[in-house]
Amino acid sequence: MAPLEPQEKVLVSEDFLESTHGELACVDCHGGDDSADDKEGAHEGFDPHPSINNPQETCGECHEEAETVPQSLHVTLSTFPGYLEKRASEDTWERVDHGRDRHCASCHTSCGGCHVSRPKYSGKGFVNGHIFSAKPDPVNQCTACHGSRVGNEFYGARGQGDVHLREYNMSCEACHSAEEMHAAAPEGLENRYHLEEAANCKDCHKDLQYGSVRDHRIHNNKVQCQVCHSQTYVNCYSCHTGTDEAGIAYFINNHEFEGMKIGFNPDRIPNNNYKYVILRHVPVDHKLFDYYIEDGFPRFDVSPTWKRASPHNIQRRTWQNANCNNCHGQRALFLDESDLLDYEIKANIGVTVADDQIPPKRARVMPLNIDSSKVEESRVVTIEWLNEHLDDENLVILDARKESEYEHGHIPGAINLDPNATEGLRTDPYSEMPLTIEEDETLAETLGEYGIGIDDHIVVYAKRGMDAGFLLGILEYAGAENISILNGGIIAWELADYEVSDEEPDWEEKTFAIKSRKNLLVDTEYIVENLDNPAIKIVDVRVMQQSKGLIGHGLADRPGSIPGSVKFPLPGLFMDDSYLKSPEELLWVLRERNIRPNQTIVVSCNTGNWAAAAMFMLHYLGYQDVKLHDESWINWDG
Amino acid sequence: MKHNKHHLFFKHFLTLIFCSALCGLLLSANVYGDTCITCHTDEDLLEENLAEVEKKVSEMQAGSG
Repeated sequence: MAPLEPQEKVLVSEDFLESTHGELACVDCHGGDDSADDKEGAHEGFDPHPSINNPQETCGECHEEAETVPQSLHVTLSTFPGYLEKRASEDTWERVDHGRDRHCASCHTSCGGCHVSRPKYSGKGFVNGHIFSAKPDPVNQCTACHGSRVGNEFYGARGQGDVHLREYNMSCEACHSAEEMHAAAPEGLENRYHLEEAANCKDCHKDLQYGSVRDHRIHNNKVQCQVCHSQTYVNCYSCHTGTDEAGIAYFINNHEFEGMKIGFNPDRIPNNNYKYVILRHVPVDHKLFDYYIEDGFPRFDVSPTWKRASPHNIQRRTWQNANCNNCHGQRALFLDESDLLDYEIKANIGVTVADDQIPPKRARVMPLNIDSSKVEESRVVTIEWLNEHLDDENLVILDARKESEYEHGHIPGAINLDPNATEGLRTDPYSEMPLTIEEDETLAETLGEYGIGIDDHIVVYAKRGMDAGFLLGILEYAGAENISILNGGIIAWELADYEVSDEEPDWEEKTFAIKSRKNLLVDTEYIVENLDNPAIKIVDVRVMQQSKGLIGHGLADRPGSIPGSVKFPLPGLFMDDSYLKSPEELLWVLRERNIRPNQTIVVSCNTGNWAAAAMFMLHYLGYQDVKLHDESWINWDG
Repeated sequence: MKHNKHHLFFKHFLTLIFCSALCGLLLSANVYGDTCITCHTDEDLLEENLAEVEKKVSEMQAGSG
């Protein structure tokens, strides 16, 4: 979501003046002085947020929902203090609550933040020239706040996105009705799942136990829907708060980990009385408010730190429901004491699943018949392997992160080559054919300057595997054959406590004897000619906000996608933190999306960046005929 | 005849009063809406008169909320 310019935030469209709300005088809702002839005078007594400060006498004049909205969860966040208060004591609660108010109370909204403007937390500003919309805008409003978890999962910025959007173009309000959003939360409400009006899968997917799917009959009311139907999701750890030298309150919450854990339901209530649920680690830490009061949570153990979750990345078929034994007997999939931090073991006793509580493996299951024999295993190296081979001759380690991140600490001997910032790899963004791979001579010269030889073993890592994959895609095009991605990237390296250096290594320039593989590239004309060719599968690896045309790219003339392209966001192939899922799982996922090794696969995105990373991964998985649409969407449209 | 003249004058006078009042009302209604709308529908004018209010975020802040 691009930020709005100051004037865009308050620019009223002519269409608004023709709308029902446009018939009202501005001062009716906002106050101010409409007879003043200067800016200051006109804004005397002006209220920019009438639905926050005066909902009953503004929105409430016509909309009866304004009666209950001020008590709704979106306005009050009333369940959040409850969790903190449980963990605090009478002596510490006042200071803890003060900390909560300074750091955690800004995420709320009101009528305006869902129906006319971007919410206050995400920078405010009219979504559409002050025109009111009964349905909130999913990009500018709902996921402007619910972005890091819900939005990323739903649109495929983590995992391959949600089937409700991909196949049915459903938006947030399709499940989260106005009744739910506007409902007053009863005092003392435990959490959002207890709200009578809360969304439930079974509101649409009714009576599954009587349907044709055997597993629905077996698991009905025992297993939460998301256990079988969600993909991996993010878990947050160890949020801390403080105040900087300028007196500004801050939080540090940057320990995130993509994964999946099934545990016992900590909150069994009618209509959600499942035994097993998906659990997500919430950011709470026993020292969360130590800046305000030490040991503010003397009763930290009263509530689990792994909470019931509803990841918004639903798929009909997932790796864990592909086969009974992908779930049954899978220790790693169920929350274990070894997954817990020292100080949270007691808090999670009720949700961890002991070895003898894991559903046992089934004796006979349907085989998945995944052919992983063509996987090029040498394209992935582990941190252990790299640590043992740091001094190998002809090993070149490339750090594909930003320079500032590299300077902060990198793998010893690694050379920084950020493919997004380095000139000489791709053409200028404002050239005739922007951001396409450079001519051979320029490309070879650039790679050589970074001490890379075509016959070297080149290992690339980053914080995000996708950045490493992008550089590997370019190297592959240039003809390098001995190339690998570091599984887990810098995060895995640091977690293993291997040496980290802040010294830039000395390297000598080499001659990169380029053997560009022009057969890997296809242009827009090729795609246009083959739009109806069933042997060619065009895969759009962008996030679904873009591939569904909800938002555009800054360099593209308009939002949209190539007709007939398969929407498969790249994060379906790369996990958040550079870890890779097993080749068997990835091959199965691709097969489910009908992206098969015996087809010609053309990968496309906005600028060729993500598509290059996808090409590298597909080649790793043994796909033989993969083409890179380097020109991608910005040139398709241009 | 004299009576009719007076009557006509009175009639025109009333019409004039009525029209003036109507114009006044219309004018004031126009002004009523225009003070806010004049500025808020003019992107160039807004650009000239508005500056970005920087949201104070600590350099220490990291991660998502």
